[in-house]
Amino acid sequence: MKLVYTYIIVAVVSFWSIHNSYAQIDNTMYFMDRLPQANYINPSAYPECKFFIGGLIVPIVGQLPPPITFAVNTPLDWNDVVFKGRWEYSDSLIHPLHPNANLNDFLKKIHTYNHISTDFQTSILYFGFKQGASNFWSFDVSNRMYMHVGIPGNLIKFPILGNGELRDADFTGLYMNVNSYNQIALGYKRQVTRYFSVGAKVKYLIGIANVYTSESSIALKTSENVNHLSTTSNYVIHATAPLEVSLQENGDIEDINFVEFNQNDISNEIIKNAFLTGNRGVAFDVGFSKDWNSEFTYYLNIEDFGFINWKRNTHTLSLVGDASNEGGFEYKGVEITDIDNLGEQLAPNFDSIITKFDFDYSTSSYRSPMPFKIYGGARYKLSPKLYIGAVGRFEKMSFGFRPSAAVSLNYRPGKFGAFTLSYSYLNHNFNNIGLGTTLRIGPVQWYFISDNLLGTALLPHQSRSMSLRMGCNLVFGYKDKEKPQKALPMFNSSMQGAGNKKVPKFGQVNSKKGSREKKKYKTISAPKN
Amino acid sequence: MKHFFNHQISLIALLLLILMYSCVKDHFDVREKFSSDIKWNPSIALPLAYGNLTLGDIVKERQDTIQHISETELGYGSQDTDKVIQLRYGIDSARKIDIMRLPVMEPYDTTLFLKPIQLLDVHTVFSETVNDLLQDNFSNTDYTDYQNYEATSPPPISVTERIADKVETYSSTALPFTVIEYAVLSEGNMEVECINNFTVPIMTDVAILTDSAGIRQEIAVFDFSNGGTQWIAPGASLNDVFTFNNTYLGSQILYEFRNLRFADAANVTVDLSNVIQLDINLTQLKASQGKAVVPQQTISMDSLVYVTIRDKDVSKKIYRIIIDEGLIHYKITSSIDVATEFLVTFESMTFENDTVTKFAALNKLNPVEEADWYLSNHETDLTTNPEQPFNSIPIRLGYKVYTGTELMEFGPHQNINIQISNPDSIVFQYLEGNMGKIEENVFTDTLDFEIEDFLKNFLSGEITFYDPKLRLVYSNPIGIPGEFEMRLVGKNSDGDSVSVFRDNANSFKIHAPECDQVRQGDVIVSNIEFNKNNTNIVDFIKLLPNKIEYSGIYKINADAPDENSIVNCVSNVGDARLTVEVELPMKLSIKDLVLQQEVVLSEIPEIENISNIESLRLYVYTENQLPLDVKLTITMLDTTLEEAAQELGVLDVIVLESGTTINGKVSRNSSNKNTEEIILTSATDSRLEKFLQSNKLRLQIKVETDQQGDVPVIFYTYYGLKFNLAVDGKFLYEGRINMD
Repeated sequence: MKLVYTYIIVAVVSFWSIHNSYAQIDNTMYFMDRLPQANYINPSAYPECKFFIGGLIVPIVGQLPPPITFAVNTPLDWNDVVFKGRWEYSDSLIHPLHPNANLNDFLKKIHTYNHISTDFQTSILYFGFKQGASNFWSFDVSNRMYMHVGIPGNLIKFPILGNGELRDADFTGLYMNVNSYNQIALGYKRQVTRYFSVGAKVKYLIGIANVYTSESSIALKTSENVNHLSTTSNYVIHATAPLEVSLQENGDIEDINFVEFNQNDISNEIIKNAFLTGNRGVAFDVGFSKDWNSEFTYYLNIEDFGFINWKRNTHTLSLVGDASNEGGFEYKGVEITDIDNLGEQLAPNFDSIITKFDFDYSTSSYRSPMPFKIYGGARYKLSPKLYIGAVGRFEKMSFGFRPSAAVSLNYRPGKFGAFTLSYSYLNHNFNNIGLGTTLRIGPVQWYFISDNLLGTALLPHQSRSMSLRMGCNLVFGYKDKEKPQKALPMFNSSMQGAGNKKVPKFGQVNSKKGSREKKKYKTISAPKN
Repeated sequence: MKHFFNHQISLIALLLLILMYSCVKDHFDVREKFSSDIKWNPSIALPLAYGNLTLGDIVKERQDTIQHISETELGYGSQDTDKVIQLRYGIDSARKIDIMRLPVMEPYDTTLFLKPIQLLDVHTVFSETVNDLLQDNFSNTDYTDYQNYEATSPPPISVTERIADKVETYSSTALPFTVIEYAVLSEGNMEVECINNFTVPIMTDVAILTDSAGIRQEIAVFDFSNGGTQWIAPGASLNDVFTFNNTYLGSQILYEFRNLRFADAANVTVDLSNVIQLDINLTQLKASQGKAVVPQQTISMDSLVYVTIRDKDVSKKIYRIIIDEGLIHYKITSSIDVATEFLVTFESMTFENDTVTKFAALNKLNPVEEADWYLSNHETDLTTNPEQPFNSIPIRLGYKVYTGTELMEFGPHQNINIQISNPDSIVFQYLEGNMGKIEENVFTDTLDFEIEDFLKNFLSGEITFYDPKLRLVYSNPIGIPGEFEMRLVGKNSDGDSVSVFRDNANSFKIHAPECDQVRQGDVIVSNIEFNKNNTNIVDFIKLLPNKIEYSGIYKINADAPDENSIVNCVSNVGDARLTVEVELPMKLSIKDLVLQQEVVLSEIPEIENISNIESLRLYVYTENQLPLDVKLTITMLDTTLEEAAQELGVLDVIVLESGTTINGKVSRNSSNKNTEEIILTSATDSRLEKFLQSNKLRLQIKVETDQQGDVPVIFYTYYGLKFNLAVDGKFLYEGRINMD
């Protein structure tokens, strides 16, 4: 059976690796509950240890390797844009607009909203400890940065197809969000009952720099028959950065310069601009896990539900409205006002069109929400060392949600480590294979999780993402074996009995000779509580 | 088993790695394998143009050329607010009408001989003692007796009468006349007074003589004795006057006491030193000849000379002129040594109310003098010549003589010759006269009228303006009434011609200002209007001439009943101004008017790169109030083919449908909506392919007014035209990506 599983796994990896490799974001890590870093995304997941510590400032283990997380995600891969041709072009590389290409195939890959994202995290200090039998605390200081860029599908299709075909071109979703902030988080998990635990984390956020598109709606309409072009806009973009903006009398931006830093007091400048920025926020992680029975556990949690208030060095540009209020333009062709100088009038004045877009500028404060994620998952224990899990993830982007799902196989061969293999659905694609591993020698625990390692290394042309999470922790009091459950099953089980009647372990038969019989145990559902 | 399993995994993994590596390299070998061909097949929809215009916006008012006139003013209707477009073309010319040629002066040449010159008065007193008189003129006995008388008196004694028995001629002891060496006196008086300072009455005649080259010449005898009957009492005198008349006078005077007697006298004291005096005055002397000191004096000719000022044609009678400026040239040759200055008095010419006299310096060392006299603002009456009361300027010639203290010779043989002429430089400011009845060609010109400025790319067709007007406005500054005969002929490029005045009168009365107004520069304006009722102007405009030949003849004094009573006046103060205005109210009809233009497509680079158009749609929407039907015909041409095969095809588009007219007018609330759509699809329509093949387009616009141009329509400024033009198409662009 193991061999079958192994072959299946390898085949799947091979097959899908040839064609597609896609990224996943932390889905691999979701069920790696031996890894303290799993708590980042699942607050109810805590390592089975008494104490752990990690982070950049921890001597030696904090630098070998440094605890960083890096991920890049794109909506298209190289092979979508440059690929092998057909027939007489089978030895050539072509592009979607090549005469030999099937343009429709390319256009199908363009969705309404297409996101490019980059995430980067580094943990400064991360530690946790168990309190009593039911409580676990954690503390985390980290620096995070992400950049999300949204490209509406129409923005790509429009120049290809033309406005004759896309008469109502909606470019909603053209946005850029960049966030750089420091996070100080306090986490707590409580084992409420034997089968139910809850976890929460409160995070104090210190914003460093930000670009946030709060509204991104631009539509270009081409009317029927007379082909009048008109745009309506509802576009608001905020930024927090050390910039000085000078305005003209009519309110238009005249010049933008960086604020001059006091070079004689660099340390204060760093503290003022990187730590005590005055841009504060808060976020929460909340979740729970529930054992349905001895094999089946389900989880639900939300991560990074919060916001940051930006007050210092803020800049906002907004373009709202349509041609009537200089929030857009309407072009009906060249307006003929008289027949004199007709030739000059026939030349469209594009400058006049551009100047119709009157951006408003202000320095008022604003609030940027955090892109929260909702996870829902379940895990089934195939064997004491082998678990299969499934997780669904909904990440709140500026426009819509970015859903993903993954199934994973988690293998814990022993106390020295664990391995996770995952298969994800992400970006409308079913082909993503991730790999994660933890290795522990004594108290030192290394972890290395790379989404799409195989794709990035071996099939870069079919990779839509690249990610890496690595680091090192010191863990103490690690519990790597499950204690046999004396009371089995948990609810209304026929196996349940009074007294000290020994209940065999899962998979274990009550045989004197020790031969192992494979018996099927009836799984009894837990009462609804 | 476990071992084998582990090896299997490793082997499979290794195989995969090898396979994948070769695949990966191919996908990134852009430099060698990338094909940069591109096929872009977009569907583009663009608005081309739009407008919401009124005719008033299209044809804006321009000063003097395009006007918006109320229909009530033109008589087309009763709505004051409804304005009609009117074209106006004006030619404005200001010129000095050269009716009169510049007057010229006839050259004048004359010689003046020296007239008698005034000399200085002379006064002298001669005294002879009684002793000398007795001794020279009486016998010795008489002389001795009187000596005895003297010796014995005082006391007073009685004396007896004595009679002289000879005559002594006495002469002045010194030259009495330092100012006259000799002279032939034509005029003058010699007054002699004989004064008896003796105590005995005397009786005598006095003879005055002069010396002429050693020969004594008697000038005059003064009979103071009155035939021997009159005594000059002691202390008393007697005088007498002699008038010179061509009398010779030398530089010396001699005198004789003739018939001298001393009377009987008692109780007298005899003193022989007593004198008998002669007081001689020579006055008002004029000498025609001589050598003398000449006092300063002006000698003028007695008679006037008349110099002729005339026009070049010698046809006009000039009565009076005011010279603006000019020169009179003179040349004087003088042999009169005593003359110092020549002068000419223009008796009827004044300058600032003073009679004009011109001078020329003379010098005996430079007998010839030639120069100019400058005239400015000189007013001259040319009517004073009784023999010819026009064109004549009287002049009086003269000269000044003066010798200072020098004695100079003079005589009637001496003369001054003067030549006066006018080198055609006189410009007159004002002129009165009788210009007669003549015809003067005022202007002849040809106007090249660029019809293309108004109708670009005109090909054919007919435009009829129903109410054109041509107006002549003549501002006349000259006091010469008359008639203006005009000729106006238009010719078009086909050689056809139309005369505006054919079968109609072409002479028009021109009013003239009075002479007082002329001097002020005032003008009288004459307005002459040519319209459809009194000329052929409708046909003239309809011809669309590109050349207009116009000329005008001015018939001077055409209406004067009596040629001799004509008084005309001309001044250079006012300018004659002729304005020709053409007014074309836009009440017209257009029939089969075709405008044509060719567009070379190869000059438009964007079209060159489009290899294929799969479909093309041209959309035209109009809401039209103009009373015009406009149809656009696009002919596609390929000039690379033989001429007979160059035309590839035709596209017809009705751009405008005429608004409905009632009595030529489209009402404010009516308009014609029209939608035109041309759809060309390469799959179903060969015209698209031909459009792409063509390298030139011939655009023909056919314009007609309402009802095929058979009725006149009026173009009001409120007529609106709303339009939208749009184009969309599916294009195919094939090329290569620039990989450099």
